[in-house]
Amino acid sequence: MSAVLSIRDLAVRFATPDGEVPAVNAFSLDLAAGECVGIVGESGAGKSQSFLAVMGLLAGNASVSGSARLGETELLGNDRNALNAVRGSKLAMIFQDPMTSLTPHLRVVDQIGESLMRHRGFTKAQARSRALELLRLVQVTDAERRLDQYPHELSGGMRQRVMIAIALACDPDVLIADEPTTALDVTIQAQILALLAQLKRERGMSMVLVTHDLGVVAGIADRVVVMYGGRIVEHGSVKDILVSPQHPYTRALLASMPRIDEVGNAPLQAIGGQPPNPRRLPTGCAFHPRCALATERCAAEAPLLSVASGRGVACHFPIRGGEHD
Amino acid sequence: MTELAQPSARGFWADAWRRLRRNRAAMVSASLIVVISLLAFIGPSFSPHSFDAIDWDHMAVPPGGPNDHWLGTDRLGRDLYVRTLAGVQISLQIGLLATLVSLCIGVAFGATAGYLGGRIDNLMMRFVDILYSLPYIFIVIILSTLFDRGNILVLFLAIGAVGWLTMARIVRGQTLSIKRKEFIEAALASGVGTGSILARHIVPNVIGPVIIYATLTIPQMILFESFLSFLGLGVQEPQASLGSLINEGAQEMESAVWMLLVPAGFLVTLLTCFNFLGDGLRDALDPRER
Repeated sequence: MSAVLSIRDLAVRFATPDGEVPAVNAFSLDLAAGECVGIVGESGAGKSQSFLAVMGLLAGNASVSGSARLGETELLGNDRNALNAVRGSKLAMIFQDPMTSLTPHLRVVDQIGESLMRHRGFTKAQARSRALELLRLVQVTDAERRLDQYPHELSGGMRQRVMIAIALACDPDVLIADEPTTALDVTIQAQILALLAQLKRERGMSMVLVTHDLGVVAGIADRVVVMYGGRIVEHGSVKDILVSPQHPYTRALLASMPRIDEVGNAPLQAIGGQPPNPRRLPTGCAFHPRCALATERCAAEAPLLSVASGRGVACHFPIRGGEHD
Repeated sequence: MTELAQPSARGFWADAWRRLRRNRAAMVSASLIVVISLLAFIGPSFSPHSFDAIDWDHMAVPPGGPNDHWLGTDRLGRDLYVRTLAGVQISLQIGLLATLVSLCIGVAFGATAGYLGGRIDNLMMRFVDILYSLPYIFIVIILSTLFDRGNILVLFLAIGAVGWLTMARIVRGQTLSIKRKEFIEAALASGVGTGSILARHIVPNVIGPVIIYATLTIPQMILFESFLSFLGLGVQEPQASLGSLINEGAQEMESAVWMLLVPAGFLVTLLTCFNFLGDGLRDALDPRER
């Protein structure tokens, strides 16, 4: 199947008073139709910045290179009008914090209707009836009344549903969800994830799920990309990554997840050390200062992403075989 | 007692209105403004006198005399009550219109500069700085020698040219703080164009400070107009504005003090009311910064 969204060698740098700071390096990804890819990593791993770059939403001091094609449209470095024709219609995004991502003085109906009126040329009445449909689709209770409410009158989960409704308004090919559940409490998280999974299934929409929570990925993604220090360190199918992680970082990440079936008060496993500062990335493999398996070679030479049988890992000493089970 | 900025089902404007209603000084001021405005616009037509008619039998009579000139007459026997109301009318018109003009220009200019940022912002704001540093009083004098003296249009140009500068700065500052908010990013992500972002997502968000500043601009504009008229650069005879009436009154101050006190009383009352109302609005629209 051909890729809906194809990212090649994406690099993002920020010009700061202290010099250039690389945030993302050599990021490539092919997203097939109907596929959900989870992007996992710690804060500062570059996962959000990669997709903000794809959306053309980076801060003013950022510079981008590489290519990101949505169908026939090149997204990187394209002018604002071409970008606006795609954003919201073919490519939509939902953000982390539903409390601040809705315009406070606009009614729900106006916010959902905005992209419909813009991209589809809907009239106000058409937009209203479509907005009602969408609210029902994202399972907002009492949808009729919610239409005329303001964001501050809705709860956090409700607002995230409205955000999803806005994103879905024009039936996008690709939905980028940037930590869609991070700001919500756990029960609501589960509901929103179930909703996203259902929508993806029913509409055959491709989805990118940016998160730091492997549990979220396990539930709904088909493939996983693990990022560290602005680079992809491992990618593969959910099953491969979760069952037999090859990169020590992925393995540590999995080990750090609290397990409900663990007997007694086993201490939480943390990854020692700090995530790297993108200003001063370690030489060689960025993970080597925190890696238990690191050797001198890891500090000297950056490992390349080697791809074999549908999965890739960037490590000199990948863990093969069922060491983790 | 501090009020928490709790989200309520009443909505922002209902909340603001509730807070404003509790502010007695602001409410009294608002009603006084309404009363004076109504008086100024319909009062003269109920009076037997016209603002420029000369009563040869009653020249320079003080208020409360045995005649129907309630607030006395000026040196030429013109009814001071009607003349003052006509003056209030002109002052209010100029104050409101000039504020409206400065509001439109200032908001459009400030929001555009703030949102586009970078070099355009720099250019636009340096232009504002240059206008700020021009000695506007000389410009008014030059303009009034080029055009007919007392041309209201010249007054507008002069007042408008300075009035919008501060508004533009305020709106630019607000825009800068709003444009990096997540909801702007979200709007961008759904493909909203620059114009709509400005008009739908940014300008309505700065409306609070804009209303406050506008209410405080009206008295400034009235004062400025009065000042120009006092200098003889504004409204010309037989038209009257509060400034020109105060000027005339000041010349008779020693023999007929009411000619000064009547228009001055109206001016002071109006200005005080607008300032109180502006203060009240600031508290009502921005409860956290009390």
